[in-house]
Amino acid sequence: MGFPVFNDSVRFADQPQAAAAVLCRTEHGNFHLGISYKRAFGPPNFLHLGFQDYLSTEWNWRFLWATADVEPERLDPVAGWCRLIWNRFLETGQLPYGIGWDGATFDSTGRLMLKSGEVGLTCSTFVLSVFLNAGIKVVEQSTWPVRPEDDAKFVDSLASFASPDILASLRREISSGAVRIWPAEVMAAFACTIPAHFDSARRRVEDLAADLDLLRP
Amino acid sequence: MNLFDLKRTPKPWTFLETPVISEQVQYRRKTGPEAQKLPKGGLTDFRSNASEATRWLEDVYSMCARGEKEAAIDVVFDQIERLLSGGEFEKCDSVLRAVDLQRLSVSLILSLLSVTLSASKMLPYRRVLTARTEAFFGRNEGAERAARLLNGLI
Repeated sequence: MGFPVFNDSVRFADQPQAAAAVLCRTEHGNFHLGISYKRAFGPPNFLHLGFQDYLSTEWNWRFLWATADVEPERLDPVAGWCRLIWNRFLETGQLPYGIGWDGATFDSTGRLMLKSGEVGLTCSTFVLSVFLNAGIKVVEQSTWPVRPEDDAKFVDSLASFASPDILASLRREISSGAVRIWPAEVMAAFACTIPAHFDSARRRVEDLAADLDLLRP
Repeated sequence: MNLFDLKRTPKPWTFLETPVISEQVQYRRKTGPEAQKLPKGGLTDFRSNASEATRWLEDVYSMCARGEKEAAIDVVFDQIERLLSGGEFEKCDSVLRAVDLQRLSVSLILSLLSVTLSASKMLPYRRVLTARTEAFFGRNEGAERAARLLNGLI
């Protein structure tokens, strides 16, 4: 299993894995998830979805990283996908944001292919989708519960910068029973036998939160 | 840096941050004026002849032999993307048909299967390639590892 480790302690750049999920706690106190991946030259790059149409390679937080317990070569296509998706995003500037996830993936051109009922991705499901593109199913999403009260608070926290249209879309998703997979749960899932079920992942989240709090200045 | 206050300023290419641009990186960019600056005798311009859509595989084999894994994966992803975004499924299928598994690393084979997975219905030879790969990995890597390598890609 891929137990999360501090990059400060075990530098991802020095390890043989080509790609890993990275989890931080931002200055706002929320968890945020992304991917770090190796490239032909230079240090590992990052790719993470901040919000609607905001895919970024900039990452300025200290982080935990983990990768799935798979054959190491399985992670090489993850890095390939990151590079392809980023190049596609540079052309379009578009990547929709939405809560529910039922296995959306990217097609061979790096375009997001949503499934029925899906509106977009979150930072968490972006990571899940990229890994799924490489054939690595990290979570069994059908085991995740609906948590409308928590999700409503999450959407409220976006109100200071999100457009009314997007807020309305997210609230519609919550009303219709969309399931939100939280960033720390995805990171915890990497430490489980994959595809991880909710109960297994959730049990590890508190430890992860405590670990990340150690990184706070 | 505040995630939510950031103005999106995507860079034209991530590798421009890297001071040294290799042959392989130039290869990715050779569709523009940069194409005129490619080193002589090095890489193949597959676009100059549509019937030679598989020629770039030779470059991938060479990169594999030199251990340039990331650059080789980039070429595979870029070329397959170019074929599929142009609707050239037959050419893409011919690439899969032409692949010499012996000259590719495990990582490259998995990358090829991964990037063609979503288009598998349009690529009849992909099923043959997965069967060939299964047998190839089974012989060289053992049945258990072969199964772990291919899980989710078939």
